[in-house]
Amino acid sequence: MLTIDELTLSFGGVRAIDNLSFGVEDGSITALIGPNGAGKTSVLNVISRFYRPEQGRVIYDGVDVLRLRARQVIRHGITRSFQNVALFGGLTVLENLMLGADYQSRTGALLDMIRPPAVWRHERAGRRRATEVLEFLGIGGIAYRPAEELAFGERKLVDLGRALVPQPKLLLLDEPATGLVESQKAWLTGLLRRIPAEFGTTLLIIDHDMRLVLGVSTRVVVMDFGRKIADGAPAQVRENPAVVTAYLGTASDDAASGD
Amino acid sequence: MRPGTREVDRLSKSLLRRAADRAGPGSRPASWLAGRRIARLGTSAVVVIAALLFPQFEGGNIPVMFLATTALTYGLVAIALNLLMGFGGQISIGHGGFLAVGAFTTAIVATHYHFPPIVVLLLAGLVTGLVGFLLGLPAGRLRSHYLAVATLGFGVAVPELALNMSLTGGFTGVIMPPQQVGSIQFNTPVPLYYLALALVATGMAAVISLLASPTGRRFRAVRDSEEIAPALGVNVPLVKLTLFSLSAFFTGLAGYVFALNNSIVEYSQFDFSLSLFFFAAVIVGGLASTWGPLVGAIALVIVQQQTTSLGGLSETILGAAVVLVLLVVPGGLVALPRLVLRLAAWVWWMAQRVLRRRTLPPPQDPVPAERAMGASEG
Repeated sequence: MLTIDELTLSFGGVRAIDNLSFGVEDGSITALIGPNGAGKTSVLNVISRFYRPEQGRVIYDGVDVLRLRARQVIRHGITRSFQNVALFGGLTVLENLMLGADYQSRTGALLDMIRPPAVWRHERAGRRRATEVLEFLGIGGIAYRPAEELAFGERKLVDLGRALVPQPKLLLLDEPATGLVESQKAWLTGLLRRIPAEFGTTLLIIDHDMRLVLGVSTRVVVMDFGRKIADGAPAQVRENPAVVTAYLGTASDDAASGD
Repeated sequence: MRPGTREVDRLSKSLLRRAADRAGPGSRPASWLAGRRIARLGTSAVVVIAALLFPQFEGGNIPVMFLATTALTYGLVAIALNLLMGFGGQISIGHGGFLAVGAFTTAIVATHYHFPPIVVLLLAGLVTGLVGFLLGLPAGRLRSHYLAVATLGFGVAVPELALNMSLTGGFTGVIMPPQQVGSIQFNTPVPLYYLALALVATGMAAVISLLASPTGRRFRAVRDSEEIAPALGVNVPLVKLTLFSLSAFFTGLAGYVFALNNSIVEYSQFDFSLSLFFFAAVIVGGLASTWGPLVGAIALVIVQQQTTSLGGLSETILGAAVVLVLLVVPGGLVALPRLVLRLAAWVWWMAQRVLRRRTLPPPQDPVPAERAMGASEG
């Protein structure tokens, strides 16, 4: 269970997050939505310890996340994808995914150079795990391609895969559907729905695509100007006048076409 | 159908086809992959055998053996520098300083203590590695240009220190005593050549082994994106410290060979241009490639040797050679065979096209767009 409590974050004079509180239930698919600039990505960057909030608390499974360093977050079962897709371009797709499991490696540089059996075991397990995830995502064919050569849609999937490899307890997805065409979005929706069951993972998804969000999530938190303006089941949130106003009508259009 | 849709469709088809063309293993025919593997293994085997047999032919020629050992020594430094720059993304134009630390450590330890050579060798590596660790502490916080300037300062400072310290013999330097295991004299050309070769092989094996390991992936992850790496549990400062320490360690091993090969270690051997030489060797050979740094170092040693009679022009020619390589093969000398193969394949393809057009009637293509696509690729 992730609890975010009275979180506030400012950049200069701009309040990116303003006294925000919400929780994410284990096993749920929670969506955090809002118009551009509402502060959604900032929330994710706070949880993954890229930003330091002025006040507030982030508790996950009894652990005070704000006391962790960025590199320790993955050890507590929280991984993430990135809005602008940040793959390691010089690594192959397979290596990008294997890196997702490398935090579990206990051998240092010296042992890795000499390669005792423990290193081989780690490599074998990592490769198997990465291959499984690639198969799950349906992109097994590009395993040996350098990440920098991939098309945008493929990159999004590899980014998602890299976050799935460690079998996180909580997966934070930053706009997984951006840049995809409609048919791909529908396919992704189906894929995301399968993740909690297949990986035992709770999902916190950020997006402004209402159709994807309403199709996937079990709960929706709506933000605008850094504040929470609605929180509840997808159907309730869709009818909420504050949400409709925030989206200036596009939300209701999207929602209507999504039925 | 909206106007323009067909163009988009045509474009996306051609993009798909190109994607299939440039794809790596997995989408290439197995025979092609096997062929590439055989070509690589064959080339490596030929190179290794030639290197092993080299003293059989030139063993009596002392200047040539000196040069060959120098090339291998610089090759090992370039391999160490490539680990730092090519795979770790951390720039250094001060590796001459590390080589100096290794060489002086060797000469000083060998002068004062009667340790077996293996101990002296390891001490040279460890002391230099420690210096690399210490330099990595501040350098790990710097990036690109700032890091370049910091390492430059190190490369300039070490020979100055050596000139002004009594431990390093000041102006006259330190004479390297002989090193001996059983009846093997390591200060004679042939055994020293084989020692250098063994160290180069060890360095290369270590780098290859590291690259396909969690540590190696962390190195390359930090190189590609320092910002994102922590999200995958990568300890970026630790990675940088490891990189500097390891790179300095292998450079220190090269320092041992350097001391024996030159019989004397003095500050003037580690002129700042030596650091630039290593930097150039890595780039000319091929950044982030396995063989590149060694190939680059050997090539530059040869160029330098062939132009020494020209005096001051030597440096200019070296610089011109570097620029030439970068203009013609940006991937470095190791990318040359692939470039030649591609060129040959292109010539072959063009020749076939021309011949076909002359002998056959125009193809009866049901989809005109396909033909347009083919033509646009020429």
